Amino acid sequence: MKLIQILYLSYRNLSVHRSRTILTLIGVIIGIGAIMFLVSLGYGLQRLVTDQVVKFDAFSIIDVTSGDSNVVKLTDDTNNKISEITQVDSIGESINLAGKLKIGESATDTVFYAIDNNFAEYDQIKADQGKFISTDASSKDIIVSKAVLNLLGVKDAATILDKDIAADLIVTRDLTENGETKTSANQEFKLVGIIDDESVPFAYIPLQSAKNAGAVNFSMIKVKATDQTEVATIRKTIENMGYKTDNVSDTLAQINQIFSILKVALGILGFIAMIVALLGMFNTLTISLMERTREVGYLKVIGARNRDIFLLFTTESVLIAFVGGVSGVIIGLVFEWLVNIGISTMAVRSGAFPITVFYTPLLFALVMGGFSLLVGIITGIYPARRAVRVKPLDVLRYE
Amino acid sequence: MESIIKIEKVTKSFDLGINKVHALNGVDLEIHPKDFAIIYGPSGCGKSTLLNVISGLEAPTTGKVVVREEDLYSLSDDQRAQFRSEKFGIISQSSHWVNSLNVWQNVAIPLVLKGNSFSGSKKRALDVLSEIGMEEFADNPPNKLSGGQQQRVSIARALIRNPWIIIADEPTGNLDTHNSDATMAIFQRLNLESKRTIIMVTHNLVYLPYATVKIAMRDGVVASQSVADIAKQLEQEVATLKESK
Repeated sequence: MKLIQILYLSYRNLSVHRSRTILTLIGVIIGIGAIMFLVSLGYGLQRLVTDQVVKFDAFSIIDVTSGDSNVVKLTDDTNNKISEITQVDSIGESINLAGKLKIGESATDTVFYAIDNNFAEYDQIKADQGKFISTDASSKDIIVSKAVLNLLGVKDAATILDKDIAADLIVTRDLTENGETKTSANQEFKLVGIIDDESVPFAYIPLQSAKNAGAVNFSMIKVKATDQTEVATIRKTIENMGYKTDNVSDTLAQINQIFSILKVALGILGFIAMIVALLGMFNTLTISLMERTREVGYLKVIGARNRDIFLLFTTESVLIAFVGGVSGVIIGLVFEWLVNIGISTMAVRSGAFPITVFYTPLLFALVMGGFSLLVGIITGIYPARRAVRVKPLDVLRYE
Repeated sequence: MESIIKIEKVTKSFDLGINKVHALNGVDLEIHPKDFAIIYGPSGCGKSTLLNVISGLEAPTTGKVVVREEDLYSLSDDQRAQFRSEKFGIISQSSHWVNSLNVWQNVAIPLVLKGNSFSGSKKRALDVLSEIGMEEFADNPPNKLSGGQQQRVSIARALIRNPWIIIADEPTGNLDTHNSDATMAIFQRLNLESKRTIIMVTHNLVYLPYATVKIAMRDGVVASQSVADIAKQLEQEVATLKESK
């Protein structure tokens, strides 16, 4: 029997028991849709998190520190050597200082990050109010986190913008030339901007300010590679010089590992729904076979080969699985789209950026389509083999 | 004339728990082209088993069945199914249908099994339905027809591949007298006009006069001359009874 005729016969058989077929289809749609929905949630959350971690050009930026070493330091000389590595595009420098910020009688302990322009650009540092510091050699700009203002008792940030603010800068001994801690008291800065962070008190100041306070070593430099593919080579070269390096790909690998586990867990939940649907499909096909045992037997009497009978039953299960699978994928996608719109609308209304919680890679959707077909074939095999074993004579004897 | 079916020393035993039932005990038989052979005998004599052995549905325990010079049981299951589909038109006591298809589509199934399409087989299906006077029911669901109508559609389905041998097992078993007579008339026409070989099993001796070859079965063998004579006597009695009606 030709495949197209088998397909037609299978379609006719399924359409005769319309309500039973539709109920089975709904089971498959829910099963496939549930896997789609849950795993897409995993993909969406992973993308949300990685987008937050991976900022502009983040993959080509390497963080370099001296680690726990007391011997190897980051100095102007070593920074120049690193800059001269062929694959390095440019570097950004920072010196971290401890200290205090003071307004009138109020004072608070603060961490000071003395940075240059490149460092600010690579780390995407921006002021939420006011402007960013000028990193010119003569600049005395400072931006602070909101937590600093809270600790200083400033209620309205606008009232203090562009005002002078005093700072005591403490250069720890690992940053000074002679290994002694230096303090520069009452350094005057001009507050040009505020960062909306109320959790940690910190401030950004121009790099030169730290140098003026006596720092000669750097706490960290950010190295930008000419290309993302060169990152591994550069890291190896710098690590051979005794420094510690970090790249966002390390963090990303950890995030991906966590989300791989989450996606498997969500997939298993969906798979349970799929197994229920699969049992429904199996049940439908088995009942259908039991109802049609005589029909199958007589088809054999009049010349149907075992192959024809096997294909007839597997085609029925593949038809259910294919239609159910494709519908499940489409309905899953539509549902995800609707939820995404709903969440984004709520986010925008609350003043946040629109976000996409569900994300379905095309390959995953195609894999789900293929998976449903595979399930159809596997589910159909047992009833089909049972149908093949029907003896034509048993049908005639039944008379 | 050379035989179309040759059965040599065929035995068939069934294991029923600890008992062994010998349904056929060494049957030798030859059927020739254009024969109208009726196999008859009391219940359990082995007539249906013999018919199933002839049609390739029941392998004999020993012996050989040769149809048109082909040793039937040297073929695989699938080859035998194909052989059956090509050479035999098979009709059983009850009609069996693919319930999702209408009358003409059911009639066309043997051609579809051969590899034709439904649409390509429609004309031939309507032709055979017309031959047995059932064309007007072509688009109906077969299980909605009366028993007699269903049996006629079964005959149409058996004829669609134009087989030379028609095998029928109690074709009138579920029919009333009127429909039984009509069915037998179709078989007779197929035998006389279309020159088809008919092999039929029946317990209804009323139809023995249709036969050109009468095969009396008793205890798994073709009955000896004396038993056949008894059957002939029975046959005459039935004929007399029929005339008196």
